[in-house]
Amino acid sequence: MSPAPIIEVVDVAKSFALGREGLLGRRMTLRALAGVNLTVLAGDTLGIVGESGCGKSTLARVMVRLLRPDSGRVLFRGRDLSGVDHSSDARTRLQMVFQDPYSSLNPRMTVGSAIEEPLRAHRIVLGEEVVRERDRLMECVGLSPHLAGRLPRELSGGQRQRVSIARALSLRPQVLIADEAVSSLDVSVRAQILNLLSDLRSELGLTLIFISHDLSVVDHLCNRVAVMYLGRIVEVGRVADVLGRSAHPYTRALVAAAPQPVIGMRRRQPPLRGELPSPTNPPSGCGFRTRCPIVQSVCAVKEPPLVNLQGGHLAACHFAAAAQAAPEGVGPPNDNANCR
Amino acid sequence: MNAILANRHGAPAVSVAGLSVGYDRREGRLAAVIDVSFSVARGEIFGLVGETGCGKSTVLRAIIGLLHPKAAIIAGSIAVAGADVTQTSVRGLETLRRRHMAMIFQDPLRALNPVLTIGEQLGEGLRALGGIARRDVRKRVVEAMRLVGIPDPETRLRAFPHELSGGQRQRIAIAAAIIRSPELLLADEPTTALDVTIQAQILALLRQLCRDLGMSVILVTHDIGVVAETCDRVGVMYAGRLVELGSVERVLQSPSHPYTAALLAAIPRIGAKRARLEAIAGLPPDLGEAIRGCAFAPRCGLRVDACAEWPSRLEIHASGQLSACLRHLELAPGRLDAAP
Repeated sequence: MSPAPIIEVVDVAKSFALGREGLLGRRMTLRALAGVNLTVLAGDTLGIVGESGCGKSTLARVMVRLLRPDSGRVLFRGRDLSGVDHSSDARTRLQMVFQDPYSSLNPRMTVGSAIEEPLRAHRIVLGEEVVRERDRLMECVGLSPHLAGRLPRELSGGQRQRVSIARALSLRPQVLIADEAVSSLDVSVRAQILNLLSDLRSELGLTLIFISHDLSVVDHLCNRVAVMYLGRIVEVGRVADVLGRSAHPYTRALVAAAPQPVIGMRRRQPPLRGELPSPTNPPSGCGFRTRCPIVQSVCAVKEPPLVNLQGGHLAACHFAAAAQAAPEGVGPPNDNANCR
Repeated sequence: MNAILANRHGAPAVSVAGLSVGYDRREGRLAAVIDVSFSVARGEIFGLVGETGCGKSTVLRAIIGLLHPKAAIIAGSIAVAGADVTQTSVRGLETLRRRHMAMIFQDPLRALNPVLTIGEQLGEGLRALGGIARRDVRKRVVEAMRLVGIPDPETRLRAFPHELSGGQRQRIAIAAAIIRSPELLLADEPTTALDVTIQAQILALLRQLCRDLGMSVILVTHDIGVVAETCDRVGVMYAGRLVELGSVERVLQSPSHPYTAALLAAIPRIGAKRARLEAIAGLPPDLGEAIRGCAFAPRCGLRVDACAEWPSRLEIHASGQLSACLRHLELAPGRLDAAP
């Protein structure tokens, strides 16, 4: 049985208007998404990676309809949700967990009420069932129901993130989108939350979209990954293909730059020179060409399309095949296994 | 003891002995740093790692004499350039900071003055030394900017901090720190706010400055990957104590403290597929309460009854490693590599 697409992002573009450049300058627009196509299959754990400003959070917000795209469509189980009411069944099927649980929870509301609120508002359960369901959700995310009377500030960062997850799960979503949900947590607590997400996925059959700047975490948790750069997806496919046999030079640089707690992998040169171009004034042709180690003249003229290399491994580079074959740079990350 | 702690010849750039720091709070005194000793040799990059609240930043602030007003050094000495920082007057500290040490912070925007141009604030540091001609100040500012990889420094002199990217700002902060050629650079999470490809550039810059200028660096970070990438030796802190100290190679390959081992097991690595991460159960102890015995014992898999009574301190083991653990022999070398 092949899994059905649960979310399809079709040609989605989104720009934000910024102020003028100076008093009389031109109006600036920031192009956050420039024609993104992405299919998420039911049961997938899809990682979306990229550096700050690449559009990954905008993509997540467009997927849950917190933002309306300028053009393009987002389909949930084949249905366009743009005209659908907020409280509709279909809308509640997509839930989101944010980076900072401290600012996404009401500081004056006990964590118990924070979890009960969506249960009541959407009439998931009624009457006395609400408290019972709350306790069940808290246990489900590894929180003792005794903590229900506490305020967010009385909990640790990890516990607060568990509350956010319980709150998102209360509406019985089919898709959970976690936007840098473990980025502000310490290593030992981060491992607990990653294990929790992984358990919830298998127990509840959730589709998980995991947005992160941390490749190691995505490699650990996800089965597919999309790499974004300047509002575009530059590479997408199975994690083993994208991170192990990267076809796009940017993905290769990201893998090489990710610091690994392993001896004997020090580089002499940083993998990329220069910085991200401004999304208010992106380069012509391929967005990555200003930093690309294998840039050619064609890259300034023609934007490379996202093409299928093999078996669902797609990359947007004129020289994808060459990049994959090139011996210099990073080898497959599986080499770690040999490092004691 | 210091001969063991700094495994290089010559006088160390800094030598911390028996340092304890307390914070005064309404609820009583909090022991932020307890009996910490280590030395950093000339030209060495020393990493200080641990999770939030372990005291790593407090150690750094004690060294440069910038502790929080409510914090006080309770015991110990800090030797820099023949002076004991803990016994030095405010004026003496200013001299030490002017001539011998400098610090860079996580957020360079807050460390730079928003209303001064880059050239003005870099020059300010030099003018404070006195006796340098105006033309020479400018020359050395441009030189420092070039050294940290700012393109076109003569033009950038006139830029304000907000006109630069995060990576460029951190380069300027580093330039400001090294412009007076300090022997010791204290870096508090200098790359945490940066993207990975920029982080790789900044870490490479720090390594290069150490090599070329013979500068010593203490790098405080929560990221063991950054330590593996950058440092020569590393100290691991937990609940205010130094629990392990040694060469990066030894500490990461065969940790001799269960906390180090647990931290390493909790970090996902690219290409090393593990079904679950080994999270550390529980939370760090409340530092406001006196801790008897080993602070990690309540979370430790190797705990025995004696751990609760053991006067936790760093000891040198037969293997040549230093750690504060009664049960270090139970940590078989290479145990971590068994991960499938």
